[in-house]
Amino acid sequence: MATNDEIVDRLRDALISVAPIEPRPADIARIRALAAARADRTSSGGSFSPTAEIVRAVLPLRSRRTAQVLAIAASLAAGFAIGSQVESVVIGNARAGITEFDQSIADASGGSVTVEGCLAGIGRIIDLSSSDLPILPKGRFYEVWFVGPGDTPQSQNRISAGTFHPDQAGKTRVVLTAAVDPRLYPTIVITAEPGDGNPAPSSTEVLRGQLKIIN
Amino acid sequence: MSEERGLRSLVERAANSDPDAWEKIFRRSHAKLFFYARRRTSSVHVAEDAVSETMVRAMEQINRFTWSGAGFDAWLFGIMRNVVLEGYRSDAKARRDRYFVPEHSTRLDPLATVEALDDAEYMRRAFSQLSRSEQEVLELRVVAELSSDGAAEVLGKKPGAVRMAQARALDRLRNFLTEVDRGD
Repeated sequence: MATNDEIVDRLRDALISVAPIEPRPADIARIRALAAARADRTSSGGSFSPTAEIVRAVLPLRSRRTAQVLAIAASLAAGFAIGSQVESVVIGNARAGITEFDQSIADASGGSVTVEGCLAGIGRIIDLSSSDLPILPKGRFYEVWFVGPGDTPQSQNRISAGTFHPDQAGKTRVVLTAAVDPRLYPTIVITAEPGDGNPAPSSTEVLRGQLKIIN
Repeated sequence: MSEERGLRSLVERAANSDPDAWEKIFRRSHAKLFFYARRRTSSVHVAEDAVSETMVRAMEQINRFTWSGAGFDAWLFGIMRNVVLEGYRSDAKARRDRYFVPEHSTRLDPLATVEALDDAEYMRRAFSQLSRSEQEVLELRVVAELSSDGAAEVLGKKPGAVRMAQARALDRLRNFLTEVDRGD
């Protein structure tokens, strides 16, 4: 008859994967960003209480999208614009609400998007628009990435800013949030994703450009 | 430096909002938290979200953490348990009889793989016969590797009660395994 120790060993083998499970890079980035924001606030004498912007930035992607919609709706209902809410947040020497980049990025075939990024809490609000991104087949979507140095398919160094697809007329106008510092992740990439549930970026890169930081 | 002292130092740095310390805690705790969450949520992605949410809450509450016999891991699992109970519980039908299957390929040889999967399947089938509370006690003690003090803190029970529940669960598991082996 098996001893308790033998059963425990067999149970452990049965319930735990043999393959190592690594945390998602975006989750690590969020945790680090949140810790940095916490340190920033406590060093300036304030107690740590995550602002709406911080909470939104560290929420998982799907939850973040929902929270974003709710936040915008709540802002409109209260008669405040998002910009006025984040304006009082000061991070280091920078003031939230400042535009850090505002530029057009074009691909070789002539398609282009305009991206504007503002400092907000620990992350950025990205206003993205385009009138010539192709409409993708049903179930597929675009995803925006901030890419850092050394990013490769095997060893990724990128943070997702969210997903979108153009409207029926082929127009795109979305506002995304991301816990990202564009100085550390200075390349913006848009990929076409298959909608297969895999959070990793696909190899279908639609557009890539280097951000030009204004401030 | 002993593991205990290393962890205390890490937690102290985390309490001072050191991003490197938080990343280390996240990486160190991720697998155990993930396996616990995975068995209680509907997908890998929801389980990952639950782990991420647990870390965010841990950061918000770190100044309230105090060292006790239960330890830091039990504190994290207590947060994780609340996260799962609050928002990440999947519906019972989707969860029933479904266990985590490694998504990555392994390098076991084919015969060893078949034998290992057979044994794992027997064990999972027997494990599924246990009550929810018995499963949770064994998961916390075996998968999460918490001490009986730690599991007791997570479950809100006394350590002695946890040890008794574990012994009972193992006895019942042994009986179910015998039945599974016989093909009952």
